[in-house]
Amino acid sequence: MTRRDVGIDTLMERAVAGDRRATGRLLTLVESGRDEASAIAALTHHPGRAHVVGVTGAPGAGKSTMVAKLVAGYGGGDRRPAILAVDPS
Amino acid sequence: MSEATGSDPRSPTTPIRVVLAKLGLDGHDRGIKVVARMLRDAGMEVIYLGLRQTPESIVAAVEQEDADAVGLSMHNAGHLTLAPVMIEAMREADLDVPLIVGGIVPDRDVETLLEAGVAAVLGPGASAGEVVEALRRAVAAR
Repeated sequence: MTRRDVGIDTLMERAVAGDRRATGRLLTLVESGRDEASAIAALTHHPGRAHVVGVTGAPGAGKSTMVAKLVAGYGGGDRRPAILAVDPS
Repeated sequence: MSEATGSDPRSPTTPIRVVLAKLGLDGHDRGIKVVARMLRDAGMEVIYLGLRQTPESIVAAVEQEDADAVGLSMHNAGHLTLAPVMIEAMREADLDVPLIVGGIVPDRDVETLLEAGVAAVLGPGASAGEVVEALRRAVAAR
């Protein structure tokens, strides 16, 4: 898929279907703060009953280790853990 | 909301995002670290994947990070083998981002790499300005 010919609606459809590239593109849009990015907020209703867990802490505190353990704990069966990593820069 | 202007996630002020990696067993990573700093200092977002990456790991990073370009550093004469493999992996994944190769590439191999689909080849003498300009040109030409 080329970058310039895909609209937000299409990106959201693809992201919901599991397309990682589309998900990455949407995250870029959210970061950009552009007006149309607000439409992406509609996706927040999509996960339904998914657990949403936030992990934060000082450098070296064990966030990555904790997340790895969480994924191992959640994984298996029909559950699909997704990690949204934010590295402020 | 599918008009052409609304579909490009990058505003003109959004920085270029580059994935840098050492592909294969080549362990000479000093050059690419210097390049990472050059690009960062030019305002780009740099994701350095480190040593011993595979075409698959690089493709996955480009997809997940929504990168605009890939930079590979090659210092062990593997460029004629590995660059085309990387190009093929990116084509298979339908990634339309440019691949830039830096490092030790004999002059006589440059044309071969460009014909294989590499966007630009940078040698050890390239200045920070030349590196940044090559990246910007490759991303703009996509």
